[in-house]
Amino acid sequence: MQASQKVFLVKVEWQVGRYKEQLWAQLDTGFSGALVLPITRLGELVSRLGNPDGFSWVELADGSQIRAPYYIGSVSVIGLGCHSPCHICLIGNKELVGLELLESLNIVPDILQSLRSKGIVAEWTVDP
Amino acid sequence: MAKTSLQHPTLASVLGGQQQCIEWVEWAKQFVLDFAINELEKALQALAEKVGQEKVRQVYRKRLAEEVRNAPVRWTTALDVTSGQEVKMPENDQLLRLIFEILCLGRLALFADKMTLLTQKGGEPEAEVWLAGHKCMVEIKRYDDPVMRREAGKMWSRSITDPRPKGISVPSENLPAYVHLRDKLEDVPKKFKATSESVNLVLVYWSSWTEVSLSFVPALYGERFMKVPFHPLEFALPQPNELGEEGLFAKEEWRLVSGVASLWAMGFPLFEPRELRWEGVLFPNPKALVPVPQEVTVKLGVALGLFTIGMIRLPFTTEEAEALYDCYVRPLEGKFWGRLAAVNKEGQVLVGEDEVELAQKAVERFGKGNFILFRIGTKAVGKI
Repeated sequence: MQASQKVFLVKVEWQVGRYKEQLWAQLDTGFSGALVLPITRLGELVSRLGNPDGFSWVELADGSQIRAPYYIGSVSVIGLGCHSPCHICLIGNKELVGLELLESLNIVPDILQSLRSKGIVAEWTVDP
Repeated sequence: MAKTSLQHPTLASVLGGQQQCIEWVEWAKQFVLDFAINELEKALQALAEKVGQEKVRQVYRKRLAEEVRNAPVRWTTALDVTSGQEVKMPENDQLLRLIFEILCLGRLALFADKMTLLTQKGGEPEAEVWLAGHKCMVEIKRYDDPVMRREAGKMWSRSITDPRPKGISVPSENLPAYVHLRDKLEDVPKKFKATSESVNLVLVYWSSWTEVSLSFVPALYGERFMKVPFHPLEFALPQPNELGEEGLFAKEEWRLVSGVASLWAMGFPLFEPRELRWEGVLFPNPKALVPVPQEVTVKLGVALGLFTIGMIRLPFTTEEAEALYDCYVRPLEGKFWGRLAAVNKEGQVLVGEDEVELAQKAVERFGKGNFILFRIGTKAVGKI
């Protein structure tokens, strides 16, 4: 079976200090945080924002764990307006928005309801 | 038809008129996307604003109108990623090289205090660019694919991370990319004046961020620094006396070169590009007569997305971070399992539940970037 190459993209605005930027990010339910930017933007962001605020220990999909630089900032989904404070991590090679953002939007109950209405048994729980 | 030249007024001016522009654009479209031609127009505009339209025309008219149009076309076999089939594509390396050069310089023009395009008649670099008050001489290179091969009468090329076209074997592929790169870069110092007091930069098109450890690192610093995977934060800039003899930066004539960058410009999104993204790594020369000043690295970061090695360093190695967890956080697992811990190098620990709040406290207490966050129990704060 050929896997679909389609992905969900969400337009978001992120902000660190006074610097703001809008971009399209892929919705990734395997990512527990709010927003990831590609590590390849590190040079540009260090130039714009100074050194990262900190480093975080992060687990990758293959189970390995690495340190990732992050900035403390906020992110909002375009169209909804409200900015949520979050860590903006630099890792990998694409922009991702994760579950933290979905949770902050309070739309998880709607997604669960939609799944259940189709007879799909679904739970919103901690990764076993 | 007139629309094409109206979309590209600077290109039309450089080429000598609307009709020439229309013909040129139609010709160029067989090699590059409309998007690239639009970006070329933007770059030429930026250059014209900085150095004047006449200078842009003087430097680029002949190269655009004649040299690239007379350049040999090679047919390459590439993989169509949507169908998985091989397709034949015409390539004009000189055109790609020239577009890359103009795009680079156009981008630098947006951030330069002042700028001069050089005519390159005397083997000079492409431009003198003043960044953050520093005179920088900029040489731009785009080489043909280092692993380009002729097989069964067909030429094909790929960047070293791309899949090989089906059915084509490459027995001589084992010559490492850094050997090709080192050979090609070897004479670059001749471009710069021996008495130069400028920051001398070489920007090289390279389409893979991850593969720089197999190419630029050994070519510049020596084979012993080759480490996979490459992590820009963990790569420590070698001291002058640590450089491998085979690395270019160890050579006396290379002291003229302040730094070499692997640089990539890519349309984004890939299939329907709307914007041009720049990214790359600048490798400073530890023996440079004129090192790259920090203010210049900052400008290059914003202009070309370049991360300069040594720009920032991780506060601890992976081993040190793990030792911090074992020593100072693991004892807290019984009492605080599942909460977050911020630890600094001295072993001071802050515990909290909210990631952002804890990090803000840690920045205040330990200083920006001087700590690492763990989740007590699982170690990893999050999954990706």
